[in-house]
Amino acid sequence: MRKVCSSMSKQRYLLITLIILSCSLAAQNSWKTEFIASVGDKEPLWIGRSNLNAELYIKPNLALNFRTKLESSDALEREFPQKTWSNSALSIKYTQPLLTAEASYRSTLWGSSKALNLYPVDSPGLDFRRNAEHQSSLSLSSEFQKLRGSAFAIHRQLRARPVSYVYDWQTDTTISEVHAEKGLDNVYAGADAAYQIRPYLRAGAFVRHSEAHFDRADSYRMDAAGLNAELEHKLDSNTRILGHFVWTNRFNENLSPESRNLLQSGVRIQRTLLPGLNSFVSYQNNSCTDAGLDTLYLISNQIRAQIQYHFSYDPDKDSYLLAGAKFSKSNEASAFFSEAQSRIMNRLYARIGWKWLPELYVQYNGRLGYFFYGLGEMYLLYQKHEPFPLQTADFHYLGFGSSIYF
Amino acid sequence: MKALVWLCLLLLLTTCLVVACKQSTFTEYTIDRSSCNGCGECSRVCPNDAIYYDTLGKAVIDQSRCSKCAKCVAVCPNSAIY
Repeated sequence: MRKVCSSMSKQRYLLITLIILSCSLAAQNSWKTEFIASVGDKEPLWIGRSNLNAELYIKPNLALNFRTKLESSDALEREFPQKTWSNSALSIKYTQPLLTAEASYRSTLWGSSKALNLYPVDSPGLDFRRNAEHQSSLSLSSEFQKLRGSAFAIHRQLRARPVSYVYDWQTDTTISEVHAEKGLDNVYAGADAAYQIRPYLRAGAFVRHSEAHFDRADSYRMDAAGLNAELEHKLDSNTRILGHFVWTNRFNENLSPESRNLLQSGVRIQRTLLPGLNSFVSYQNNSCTDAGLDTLYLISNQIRAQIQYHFSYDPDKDSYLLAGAKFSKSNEASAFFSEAQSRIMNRLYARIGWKWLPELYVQYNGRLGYFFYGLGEMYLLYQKHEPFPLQTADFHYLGFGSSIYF
Repeated sequence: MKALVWLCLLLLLTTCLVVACKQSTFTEYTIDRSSCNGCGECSRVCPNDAIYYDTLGKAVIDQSRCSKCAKCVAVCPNSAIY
């Protein structure tokens, strides 16, 4: 027992040392902490958030990246079905002229989560309370002259407690029973090969496989294979065009035969209009057809445009104006947004933002921040969230926070 | 020549805009990889555990699990789901 504890302590010390090292030696690290309280007619609610991002180059070709997020509130907030949530990711990347290898681990922890009907296929009267999810992945890619090959494998395990419900006729109540935690596994794997036909054009082929190891696993098995082409061309010093086309033949029990062949295409034009004024327009389309290629059906599409201007009076480029729109009628997922930040005094910055999702909500943001150059920032923030339909009451949030750069 | 290229691009974008106004015949949600920053908000609300992360840390929707509830569309801070 003592041996186990001692080994655990060593591991813990090693991990702490690693994190401290990564935090102290890396160049672009930040730690952000924020406290927000809801105000107005709604029941009072507080939310605490903390984000840590760290990157460390152990060697010029060996990089370690770590980021973690923690969010906690005293009640369930809006769409989020848990009071506490933590998301962390750790990755290590090794780069050589011919080979790149990356291993990563990502974990999500849920606290005081609601029981959800996680798996929609034939599980009436059975919900799952999510506790944690662990995802580990490994990827390898190699480039030799005009040929490029890559492969990946991802394993994901959800740790959840099944909750079953029994109706008691005598007392006219439903009794829930929480069962022991179980692990639900998913595996995703794939390989790609591509050839650089022209300096601006690359074409390739790929295979994908995914499966789940739990009840009715067949429903969640998907195999796919396809062809793709990518285009990247610089029209002039200010304009770049990117495009892609992917044909995927996929097979899964839950997919209808008409959606077996997936056709994805996209084009993106990036242009610097004036010094400090950057913009892009992109269009993406997903369509499908059956095995006989008879009729083409639209799945989803979007056209997106964005523009950003950095005001020349701020040499630190922290004063800017950003505006954008995403038009996606197909899945009612359109969005319009704008944000502006400006230096109003020496180190004092004000920011206002607006975001409108026509079918869902409109959101207004205000923020007043004081920068400590090279060290961090302290700020006050306000957010108003108006959900649609308008009968639902608005949410108002007031908060303060700080960011430290090290 | 340059004017012709720009004219073609304008024509392409107009066509895209017209096509973008169509309603879908099949519902599937997709993540715009260029806008996704892998923040995890979508998988946090997904009631079907249908979202995982690829080797670049970008979110991917497992279509065999997705119930098309669109909860991820509402919470994505970058409006990357369509």
